Amino acid sequence: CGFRLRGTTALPFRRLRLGFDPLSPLGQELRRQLATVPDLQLVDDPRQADALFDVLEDSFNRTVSSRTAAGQVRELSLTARLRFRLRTGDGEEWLRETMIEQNQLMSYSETAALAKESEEAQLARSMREDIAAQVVRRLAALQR
Amino acid sequence: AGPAGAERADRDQPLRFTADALRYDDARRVNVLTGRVEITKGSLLLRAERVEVRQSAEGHHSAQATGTGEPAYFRQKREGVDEHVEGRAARIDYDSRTDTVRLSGNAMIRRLRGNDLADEIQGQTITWDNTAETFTVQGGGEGSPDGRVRGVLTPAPASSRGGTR
Amino acid sequence: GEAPVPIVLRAQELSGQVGGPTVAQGEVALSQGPLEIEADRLEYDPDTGVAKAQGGVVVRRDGNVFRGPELQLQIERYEGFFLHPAYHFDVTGAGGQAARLDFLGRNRVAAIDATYSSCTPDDTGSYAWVLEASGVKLDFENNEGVATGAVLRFYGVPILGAPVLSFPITDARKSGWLPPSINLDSRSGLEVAVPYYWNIAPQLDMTLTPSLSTRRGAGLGSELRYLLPNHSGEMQLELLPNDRTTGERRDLLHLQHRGALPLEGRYRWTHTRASDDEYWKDFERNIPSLTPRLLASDLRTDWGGRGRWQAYARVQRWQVLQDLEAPIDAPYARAPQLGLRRSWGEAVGPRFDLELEYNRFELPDAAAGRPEGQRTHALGRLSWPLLDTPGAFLTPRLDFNAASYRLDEPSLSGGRDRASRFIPSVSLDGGLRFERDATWFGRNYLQTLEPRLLVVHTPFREQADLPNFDSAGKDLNFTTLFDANPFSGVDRVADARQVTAGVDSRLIDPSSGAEVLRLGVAQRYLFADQRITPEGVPFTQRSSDLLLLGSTSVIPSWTLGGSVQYNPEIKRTARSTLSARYSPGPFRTLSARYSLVRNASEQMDVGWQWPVYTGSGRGAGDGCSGRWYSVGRFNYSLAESRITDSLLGFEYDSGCWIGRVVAERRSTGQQEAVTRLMLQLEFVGLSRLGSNPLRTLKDNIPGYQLLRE
Repeated sequence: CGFRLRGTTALPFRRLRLGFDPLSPLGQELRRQLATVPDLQLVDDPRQADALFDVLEDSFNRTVSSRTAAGQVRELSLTARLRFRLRTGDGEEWLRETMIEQNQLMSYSETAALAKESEEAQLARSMREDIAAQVVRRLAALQR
Repeated sequence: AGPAGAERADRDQPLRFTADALRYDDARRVNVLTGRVEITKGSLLLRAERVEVRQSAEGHHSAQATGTGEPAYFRQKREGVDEHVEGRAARIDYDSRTDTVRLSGNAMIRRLRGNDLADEIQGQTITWDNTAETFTVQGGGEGSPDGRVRGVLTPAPASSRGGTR
Repeated sequence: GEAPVPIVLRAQELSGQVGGPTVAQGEVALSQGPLEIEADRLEYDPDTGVAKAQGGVVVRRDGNVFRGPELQLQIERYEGFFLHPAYHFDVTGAGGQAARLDFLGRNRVAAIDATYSSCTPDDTGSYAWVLEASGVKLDFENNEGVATGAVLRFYGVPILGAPVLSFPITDARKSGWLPPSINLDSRSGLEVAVPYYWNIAPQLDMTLTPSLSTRRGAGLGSELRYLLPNHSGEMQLELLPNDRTTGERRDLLHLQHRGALPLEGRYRWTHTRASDDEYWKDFERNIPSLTPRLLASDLRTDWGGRGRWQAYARVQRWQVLQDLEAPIDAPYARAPQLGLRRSWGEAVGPRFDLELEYNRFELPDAAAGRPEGQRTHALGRLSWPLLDTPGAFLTPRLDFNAASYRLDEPSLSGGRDRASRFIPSVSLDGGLRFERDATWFGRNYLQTLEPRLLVVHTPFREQADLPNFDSAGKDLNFTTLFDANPFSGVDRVADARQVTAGVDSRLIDPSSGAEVLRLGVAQRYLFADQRITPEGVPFTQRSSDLLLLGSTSVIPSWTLGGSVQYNPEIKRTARSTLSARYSPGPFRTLSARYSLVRNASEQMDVGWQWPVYTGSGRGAGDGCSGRWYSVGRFNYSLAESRITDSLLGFEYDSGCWIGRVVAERRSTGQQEAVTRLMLQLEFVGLSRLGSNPLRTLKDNIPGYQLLRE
């Protein structure tokens, strides 16, 4: 039925500079996924890069999506959002501003606050992995 | 500082001229000079392609300079000040009796302090009274889009300014 | 001084004396650098540098426009006066008229008997809102407007009178009064609050909010913010010295600090404490924490985190606002938590992750069956990918969870106060990633198909007798299905002999790489009963709930999503959510969500921000049209068939002022609820900072966008 195994990712640039805050977990996850792309080098100095990844928003928000009559929170809505733009080495816009968002609901109870904290961390990790994978697909779809 | 007059002597200076050709038109009792005409009278210089000079009974001169390709040009030093006034227009009329210069047709008049530009005014017609050192400019020439006069005045550097309010 | 800038004069007629005054008549326009003057007649004296203009005089400079009959201005020093001017400042979009206006140098202007408003006067010449003052001084350099003897009128009604009123000229932070907010509350009565913003220093500012409530009396809110190179933070104190309804002092303290530590360390301290258990019912707006009845005090320090290792130390305590009708068992405090994480291996290939941690767990008041004590644990994960290509992966993994406990009381079996256990777990995670070009809905996409398998074997280790400080059952979703342990935290590890199978398919737009549709299904099959389960009852079925997941944005400006958890045993859905969001443009968003948890809750949420009336209102001449927006959110519990929380608001943007009316009804108990009405006026050009109702809207309405953001 026409399916074939996915091949290696080819990106239209060789030296990419990521504009993430060094401590951003999403930045570290994207760095990890890009490490498997053949002959791609991640550089820190924008002058040496032939592609500049500008991070416009890298946010993780939590809002209450359900609570009991007595003010107990029963469900949180977790939203990870990345807004980014890609420019060529000399600054022209290559990929205009793009937003990728992941949303996940998590049940909550105040008594299990400690446990919910580590569950939220695990959900956040997998949301970041998904966003990073979508970013790699967006970059691979770019024409030279 | 009172108005510094033009060189007083200009009025009484003899009028000299050079030109490619000189013709005396007896009917109109006018000398017609043509071809790179240059007229000097004291510090006054008038240059044009064609100048008609008339001398009145009392010995006053009046000159009418016109330029078809090149505009007519005039220049005069201001008395007692290291400044010059110069101007060009399609046609320049000089009357030594009233000591006024009238520029008409895309006229421009300029005042230079030493050799940097102090003021410059463009308009349709400019009348310049040499003794009273006053000027009046009407209507913009072809150069100005909305038919208005355009003047650029450069305030004297603060140091040389007169008393301030 | 530097070379004087030439003055360009344009007029129908110019005359004058060389070196003396020049007179320009007829459509006069003078320009020098940024300054432009128009008039019927203008006389410029080069000696004094003063320009006198009469007749339809207009002065334009740096975006500010002054019009009037007569002007005298020393051009270079920009000093002079303007009689009966009208003025408009681009930067604030506001202006007004005055008896006289004095130019005091490049950036300062002073007006006498002046009016100031950003509204365009209607045909009767009256303004929607106007600030009338005997004197207005505007300093564009320090971005400060000061009105003396000022009265602020709103549709003619004086709503604010002040001997001295300062207001920002630009958006930049500026000390001054912020728009007053008026709240009507079924528990606090009418409350008026007028915040004053004090820009103490570039890196320090404070907002003081005196408030008066008809039922509770006078209160003061204060928020101090600081921003230093390596440290930043906020301190907030909401104080009601004597709440007349309870006769006690009511207050809330909230601190938030973050900053750098030596050796590239970082610290983060958040602390929230309320004065009494009812505080959240009366002043929920003041509580910055997501959980109104659980207030955290959490000091955390971290080192590393960028490289292979991370060290952290933390003290985490909780304040529970208790309600005997719906009690909350306080979570354990970690006092302290000390930990070290280290990983070996590259991004690709074999990898070993280790976490070593010590915790002391305490409770605010000892509760039966919940022991206090210490735990030291080690979590290890060794993964050895046998195959790791873009198209296929196969990774065996060995996990271990070792913990040793020392309790304050010998409450363990046999009178022991000490216990420890070591639980290994083996898993094999594998999957394939297929792709093909496919046409769906008439367009061609890249379709992916990704089957995945996770085999887990974790031996049974008795833990019923051991304390449970930080473990709880995780929701069932795609992430947790493909995880060996259904518990979060460290204290509980479920025995497992199971395999989880799932497949995920996505449609990707080949031109942009954007994902437009995703469908997924997964289920877990058990080879043996699971004896340790979050529900506390052994799980004897051979298959878990079937999980279906879908989301799409294939329809422009729509995002649809849903997940269903189907229990094959009882052939009914155990849990499902369906959500739809339609947002075709800014300020236009409509979202609905249905969520069902069998035998627990069935809820419907609707939220929207939508323009109600965008016709051209008054003063449409200059594009300032009165636009009505409605904002709303309703949570309807189908199980109890009643609205649990609701919020309805209207925002009116007349172009020069924005009015917000927000009504909110929050339940605070089975039969109890608080209804709150918030009114807030924002005068464009006088003060642009919003106030509390905006936070309520931003928190509650998905996709809410601040007007004029």
